Parts: sequence; structure tokens; C-alpha cells
Amino acid sequence: MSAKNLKKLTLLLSLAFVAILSLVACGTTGSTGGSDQNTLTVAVQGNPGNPFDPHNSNDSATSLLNVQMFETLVFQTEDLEIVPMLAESFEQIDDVTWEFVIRDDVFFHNGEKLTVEDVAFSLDRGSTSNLVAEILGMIQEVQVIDEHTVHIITEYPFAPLLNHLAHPAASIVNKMDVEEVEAAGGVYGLDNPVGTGPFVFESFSSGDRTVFSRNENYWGEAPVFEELVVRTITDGSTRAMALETGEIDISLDVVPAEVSRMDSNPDVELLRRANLSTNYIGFNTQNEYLSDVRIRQAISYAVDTEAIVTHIMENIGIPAQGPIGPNVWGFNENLHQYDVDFDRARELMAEAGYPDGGFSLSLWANSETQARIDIATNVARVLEDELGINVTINQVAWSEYLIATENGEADMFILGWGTITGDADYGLWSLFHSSSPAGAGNRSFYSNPEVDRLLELGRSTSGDERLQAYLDVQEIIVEDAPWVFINNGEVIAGTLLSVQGFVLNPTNAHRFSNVHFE
Amino acid sequence: MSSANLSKQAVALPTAPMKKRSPWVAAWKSLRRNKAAMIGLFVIVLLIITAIFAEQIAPFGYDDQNLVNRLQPPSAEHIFGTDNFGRDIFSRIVYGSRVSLQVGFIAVGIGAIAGGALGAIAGFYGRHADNIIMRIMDILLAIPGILLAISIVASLGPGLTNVMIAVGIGAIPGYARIVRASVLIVRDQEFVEAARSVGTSDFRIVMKHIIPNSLAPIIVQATLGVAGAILSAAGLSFIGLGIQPPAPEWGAMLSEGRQFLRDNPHVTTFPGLAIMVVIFALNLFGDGLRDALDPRLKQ
Amino acid sequence: MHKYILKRLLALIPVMLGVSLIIFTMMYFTPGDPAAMMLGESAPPEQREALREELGLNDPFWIQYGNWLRGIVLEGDIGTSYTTRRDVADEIMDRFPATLQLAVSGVVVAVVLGVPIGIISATRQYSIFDNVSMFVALLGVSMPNFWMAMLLILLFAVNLQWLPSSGLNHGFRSLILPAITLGTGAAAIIARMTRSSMLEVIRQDYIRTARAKGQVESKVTNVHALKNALIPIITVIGLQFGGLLGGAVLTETVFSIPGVGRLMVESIGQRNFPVVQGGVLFIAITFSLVNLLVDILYAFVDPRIKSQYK
Repeated sequence: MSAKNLKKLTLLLSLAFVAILSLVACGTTGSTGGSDQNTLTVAVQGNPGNPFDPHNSNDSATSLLNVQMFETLVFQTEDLEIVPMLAESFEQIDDVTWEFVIRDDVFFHNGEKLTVEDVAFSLDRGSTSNLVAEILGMIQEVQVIDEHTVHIITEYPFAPLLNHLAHPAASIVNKMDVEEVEAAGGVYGLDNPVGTGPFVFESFSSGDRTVFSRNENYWGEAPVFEELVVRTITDGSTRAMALETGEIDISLDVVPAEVSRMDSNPDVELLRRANLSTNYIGFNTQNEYLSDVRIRQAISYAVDTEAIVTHIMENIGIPAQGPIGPNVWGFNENLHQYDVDFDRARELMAEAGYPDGGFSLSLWANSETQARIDIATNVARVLEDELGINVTINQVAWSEYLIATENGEADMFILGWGTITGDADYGLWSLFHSSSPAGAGNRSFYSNPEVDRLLELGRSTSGDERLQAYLDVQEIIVEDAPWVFINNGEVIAGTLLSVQGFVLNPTNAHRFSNVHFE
Repeated sequence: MSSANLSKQAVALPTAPMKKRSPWVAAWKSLRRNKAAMIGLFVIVLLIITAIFAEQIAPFGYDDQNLVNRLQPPSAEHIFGTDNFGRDIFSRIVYGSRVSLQVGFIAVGIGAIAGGALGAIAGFYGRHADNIIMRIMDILLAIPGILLAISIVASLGPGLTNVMIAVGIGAIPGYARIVRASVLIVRDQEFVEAARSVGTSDFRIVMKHIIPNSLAPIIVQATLGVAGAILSAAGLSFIGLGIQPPAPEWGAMLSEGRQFLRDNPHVTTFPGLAIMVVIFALNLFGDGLRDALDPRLKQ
Repeated sequence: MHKYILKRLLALIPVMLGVSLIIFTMMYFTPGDPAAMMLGESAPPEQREALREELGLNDPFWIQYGNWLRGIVLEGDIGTSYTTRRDVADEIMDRFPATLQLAVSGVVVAVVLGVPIGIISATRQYSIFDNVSMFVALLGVSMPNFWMAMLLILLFAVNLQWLPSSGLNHGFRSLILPAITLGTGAAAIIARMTRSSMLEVIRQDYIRTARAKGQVESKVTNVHALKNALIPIITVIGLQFGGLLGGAVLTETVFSIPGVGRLMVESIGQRNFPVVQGGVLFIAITFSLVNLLVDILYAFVDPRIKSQYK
């Protein structure tokens, strides 16, 4: 190798470098935000983890994207009211039969007209899908009555059906399109999902972004901007910085640590709205010690939820009063409160036979959610200091966490539940009915015949009787303390000041079609 | 300074019995002239003392929470400030030295013992044993270390012990290669053949002749390996696969503090510095050790 | 030469089989259930069992491994992601450009910094430059790169607001901080290696001869010394590059860059086994090919080695 060769090598290296850089520069012209009024750029935390198929996806990142493309028979507004969407009108005919008249002016992105066949096909498909069974599993049959009318028959009387039909899992897909893809042995929703919504799918790049264009033939009011870009930015402070620099227009999933900073930033508007979630510490009620209601109550008295909300959650949400939050239908506002009271807690421990604690419990949290790890860190310390319970923290990956809580390995675990339908049934049945398996939500292995009776009553009745059943059942649950109720969450977003008309939806199904720039 | 005296003693002790072998004495003499290595050694000894006397040194417990006092900047009471639970960061770093030392030494121990044994077997028995063992080492080397460690921790579950095992396994091929190479050199030399002809068992030959002869490169590799192990463990903690809270692991402290980087950088600055200083010291010492033990590189 | 390359490529096959078996075994014994992950927190056991059956997760180990291997060998299909249902190859290819950009820019920074520093240090051994730069190089090796990344973000993105803090959406500008992060550690290693191998060569006899012939000092260093010192330097550069391709997980995490490393960590967390198996295999193959390339480069640098390849 001579000096000449050395020069060649250097030249080659520099060329490679230049090539790479130009590659980078070309590949990334699409990043806009702020100044461009024809593109709305939104950042979220998660990468869509499922195909864009409403019946075969159940993670929140995919759901949010599906909501931009697909629509449902009815829609649940940000005030949690049920209003018509693809259905013009609806009516309950008897205990198990509901009639829907669908709109006549709706076309799919591929130009096909929306028909009752599409509706029947979609709801059938959803009700038999493994991934969304808890939303649509009660639908037994969808009967086509005439060109515009379908009857939905449920397996058993199911009062909150409308709320379930407003869930993204009940989205209407184009029968022909789905059958074509699936007949060819493909998976629907990978390349070209086709819905009726205000945005048309353009492209997806894993870990980076999904791009939509405006649906020019939208049956409702079409968006004023041409392009919607939803980016995945995993890290919370990075997301916040992207908004501050105007790189994105809207940041969803604002993390606790960034809230106050964003709030005091004059260039950014912070939007907050109570969502439908309850975060809790669940007890395995079959554990040797936790099977004693007095110990569960003692722990409930010892955990300072007020302090957790103020300091660890940075004032996001409000301390929870019971299993469901104030904006869920059926909420009981007069529940007993376990305000922090160490004396009462020690009394209860003494009554249970453990005046000085002296036993060990495991407290589990999933490693993906920092707030849960933080709560665990604090609670473990408090229980040890105040009640003498030796608590070990187990921080594991979500997939392992689900199994450990399901097979009773976890003595205590921190979880959240979103009552996404806005109705008490969804927020209580899977979690507290004794027939509900742990994997479906009853990870406390909770069983109380009176609770079962009231939950069944709530499902099959209506009006005041239904409401009373839920008010009563919450009192029993709070008394039994299968959970420490921590807080009711909030959905928080930041937008640039130029972004107008964006409204947060407590169900997390935010729609971007009404946004305009100023 | 009393700790400086301590440092000399701490090292003089293990070398004393080796006086018979002059290369070790010569190495120690040359090491003592190397200022950088001595600074490294001093920091390492300081770290060991810190770990032993953590209770006496730390003004607070590592998990003394006080939520009202959270995210305080450095002050007279909390010289490194407090974290998001109001815990004293200085105390956590002091206790964290125990975790780091454990991880560093035990992981290297696992790697050196397992790797050394495999390398010795491969080199000593040759042929099939050699082939099989070294191909397995090739396989391990084909997977980037951090990825291998992540997969191992995932399958074993998080926690200090499993982190040490994961990091240790990743280090095995390095030691196996070193020992195998030295065994190959020594194996056919006269004194080994002599020992064999007298009927000495293979195990004894390996222990008495082969291991001592490959000790120098292993010691160098191990010193630098401790640094690597501490870094790897910190990296694993950083992506949530490390040890369980509330244990004060430096990498985990960095990871937890990341969300406060913009408003409270002190939460991450001090654990970051702690890792850097320790790794730096180990590298200084390791470099010096290599120069001292490897006469080829000595100037 | 061709024969040699072919031989090396063939030798890769058993190693890759071993890699696949190891990673498959580890994933098989990893606690947690992909079906549970996919179905979320409200799935009754029957549903999950049905899904496990559908995914083939209830098959015995050897059947699962055999099926997977057959897919690769017979159909060139490395699997389908459990979650997104996309081809694993597509998932990886979506992420690989980011990783490649990082690795290349990191290595460029490393070489541009490391080689000259190493050369100057060697030619002026024990000078102030040598001492300072070797001290800094050691500091560079000692700094955890995720912490360095955080400091760079704090300074250049948060306080000075000169550079973006994350992603790869600003072309050249967004590569600067990650490249520095990845490059400094590697630069330090390269500088140290360059220095020591230069020193070794400089001390050899024929350099003295060259000097005696009256050649100018700088030419001596460049032509003779560097040429012979190049082999270990190239090895180190190659190793660093290979390492960056598969091991930039932490840097990708801090800068929120959607690279292959992130994909692996996410997939391991999700127990998305096909993506993990495919991804690790992909990384291992890339890594080994880079090493092979380095070995071939030797031959061009040193004809003596070339003759051995026949």
C-alpha cells in the first residue's frame, strides 16, 4: 500500500460518507410541522403493534390510527354521548334486538358504496375475533332486514350495546376488500386498509410514521388540511421537545415530568381532560395474608394516594374514590374513602393478628410504565415503614406481567383499567364478577355472590334499577378492598398555538379531522 | 493520606507469596513507577473502601424517601441533591458502589472461570474438544454482546444475579481464546511432557503448569473486563432489564433520571460521573498492568 | 481468493445454525406468553389457548424450531411478526437504514478522529500531545455512551438548541449527535490501536534503514509505517463497525431512533419471537460478513497474506 492507495482509501471513505448523508437528506423531506398548513403532524408514544384491521388489533397506538380511517355505526362524543355516525338512526326493539338504519351516502376509500352487507360482515367478523371478543363477543347475529336496515341480536340482554358499538373494534370494513385480501391468503390491514373515514391510508414505516391523505369524497365534513402524519416518538421529553421546536403540531401522551413545563410555555397550549381510566394496586385475594379483608383494608389506609397523585403523578388525574371514575356512567360519589390513617391501619393489622407485620409480599409492576414502577417504589417503602410488611418489587416485561398476575404469582400488582365504553358494566364485570377469569381482568381472584348478582342485574335491566345496582355494587367492592384505588387518569396533549379545533376524547379515540390552523 | 497507605497494603498482600517468581515482582515494580496506573489503583481501592463502609459514609439510607423534598438541587444537606422520591443521591451512589463492584467482579469471575476452563480443555485435548468448544465460542461471538446479554436476561428474568450471569456469559469467549492460546504454547514444552511422563494427571498438569503460565494475560483481561461488566450492567439497567428497584444501581439511576434531564440534570449527572470515574480508573490500572506484565510492549 | 471467500461463507453456515439454535432456545425458555401479549389484559384463557394453537406455540420445541428453519431454507421466509403480522424481513428492512446510517456516520467520526490522533501520538511519543490525547482517548472509552448522549442532548439540543434531540428527520443535522456519541468511544479505541501498532512498526529495523537513507521523516511515517500498521487498525475499524451495526441499542434508545437495535429490545419485551429470531440472525450475519470483508481487505493491504488465501 502506497501513499497513493492511502489517498484512494480516504477518498473512498469520504465518498461513502457523502453518499450516506445525501441519502439521509433525501429520505427525510417529509418532516414538517408548525409552518406548513397543509400537513398536520401528530406525535404519539407507541408504535402501532397490530395490522390496520379494526377487528384484529387492540393496542392503543393502532386504534388511534384506525379511528382516522374507519368509522362505526354510532360515535361516542368527547362528552361520552352516543350519536349517530354510519347509522342514521337506531332503536332497541326487545331485550336482545336492536335495529339500525344505515346512511345512504357513504362510500369507502376504494369507491365502493357502504351497504348493510358490509355492516353485517364487519360485526360478525369482530364478534368472532380473538383480539376484540370482549367488545363484540355478545353479538350473536346480525340480520339484514332490507337495503338500509339491520337487526343486531345479542346472546343475552346487554344494556350497554351502543357503547360497545361505538368502540373502534366495531368499525365497519369493506366486505369485498377484506374478502379479496384474505382469499389470497393475505393479512388484512398491512398495505391498504379501506374505510369510510375522513383520512385515507398512504404509507406506514415501522417505528417512524404513518401517513394519511384527506378523503376528498368524505360523506361528512372533509378536513381542511391535505395530509395527516402520525409519528412515533418513544421518549416523553423528546416528544415534548419536538413540540416546542415546532417540529410537530400536536403531542399526545404527554408524560408527567413534562406537564408543568409545557403548561408554562407560552408557545404551547396544554389540553387536559379526565379519561375513563382507574389506576390501582390489585391484591391477590387468595394470598395467605391478603385473603384477610382487614389486611387489605390496612394497606388501603396506609397508601397515601393523595401524595402519590401530587408527587409521583405530578398532579395528573385525581385520587380515585372507587373502581370506576366520575365520568363513567353509574359512578357512585358517596363511597367510603380510605384517607391515609396509619393508626387505623395498624389497628386493622393487629385485629388480623399481625400487629407488627412481619410477613413478605411481592409487588409487581411492568417495566414499560415508569409511573407504575415509581408507585411501587414508594408503596413498598411505606408498607415496610408503617406496617412492617416486607415488600419486594418485581419489575418485569408486560408479557410476563400478564402471566404472573393471571396465575396468582403476584401478591400485589399495579395496573390500570380504561372503561373505554364509558359504562359501568365494562368497568366492573370483567374485573369483579367471579365468573370472569383472571386473564380477562379479575386478577384479584375476587368473588362475592352479592357482587355477582348486582352485576348481572346491571347488565339486564335499564333505568333507575340498573343505576341502583351499580351504585350498590361499588359500595360493596370498596368495603371489600380487592384493590387500592389510586387515581383516575387524564388524557393530556400539547398543541402549537396555531392548532385549533382539536378536542381530546376521553376514550382516546381522538379524531383529527376537525383541526384547522390559524 | 491513610487511604493511600491502605492501597499499598491491599496490593502488597497478594503479591507477597509470589516473591519466588521474579517476573511478578518485576511487574509490580514497573507498575509502581506508572503514575497513571497508581492513580487508577487508588480510585479502585477507594471504591472498595466505599463499598465496605457504605453505612458509615452515606449520610442517609439508599431508600430514605421524602416525597415533599423531591428533586432538590445540590445543597449542604444533600451534596448531590435528591431524586424524584426525595432520596439523597450521594447516599445512593455510595451504596451503589456495592452493586457495581459485585456485578463487575462476579460477572468477570463467571466469564474467567468458565471461559478459562473451556479454553484449557480446548487447548489441552485439542482435536474434537477443541473444535466443538471453539465453534461454540464463534457462535457466541457472532451475536453482539449487548444483544446476547439482553436475550439472556429476558429468558432468566431481571435481577442482580441474572444480570451478572448474562454479562459473564458474554465474556466467556474472550477468556477461552486467551487460555487456549497460552495452553497451546505451553502444552508441548518440556516440563509438561516431563510431568506427563511421570504420570501426573491432566487436571494437575493444567492447574500446576498451564494456568500459572496464562495468568498474566487473564489478569489483564479481567481488570479491563470488570470495567466492561460494570458498563454492560449499567446499560442493561438503562433499558429496564437490570436489577430491581429500589436497589441503587448507577445505570438504573441514570435511566430513572432521564425523564428529569431538562429541569433537573443533577439527577443523572452524578451517577453518570460515578460510572465514568470508576471505569476510567479500571482502564488506567488495566493499561498499566498490561504494560507491566507484557514485556513486549514495555518501552 | 475466490476459493477462500467461498470457504469462509460456507463456514458461516454452521455458525449461523448455532446462533439460530441458541436464540431460539433462549426465547423458548423466556417467561411470558406472546399470546397474552397480543390479546392484552382482558382475554379469557380459552381465547389465549386458541391463539397459542394458531401460532404453533403449543408444539414441542424441535417441531417449532424445525418449522422455522424449514421456512427459511425452503421458502426464504424468516417468519411473520406476531403483533403486526408483517413479514419479519419487512420489519427489519424498515429499521435497517437508520441503523446503517448511524453505524456509518459513527465509524466515519471514529476514523477521522482516531487514526490521525493515533498517528501523531505515535510519531511524537511522550509529547504533550501524546499524553493529552491518550488521556482523552481513555476517557472516551470510559464514558458510558448513553450518558454521553444525554449530556450532548442537554447541551446542544436543550440549552443551545442548535441540533435536534432525536429521530432522523433533519437529515445531516440529526445524525451529528448520535454520530459523535457512537464515534467517540470507537475513535478512542482506534486511536489507541493506531498508536500502539504504529509504535511497534516504527521500532522495527527497516524503518531505521529508510531513515538512514535520508528520507524525510513525514514520508517515512506515512508510507512505510502506516502501511504495515494498517492491518490491526483495519481490524479494529471493522470490529467497531460490526459492533455498531448490532449494538447501538442504547444510543438508539436515547435518541429515539427507530433502528434494528430498538426493534430487538421492543420485540424481546413483547415476546415477539419471530422478530427476535430473525433480527438476531440478521445482525449476526451482517456482523460476520463485515468481519469477512475486513479479512479480504487485508489481502489488498498486505500481499503476503493474499498468497495464503490461495
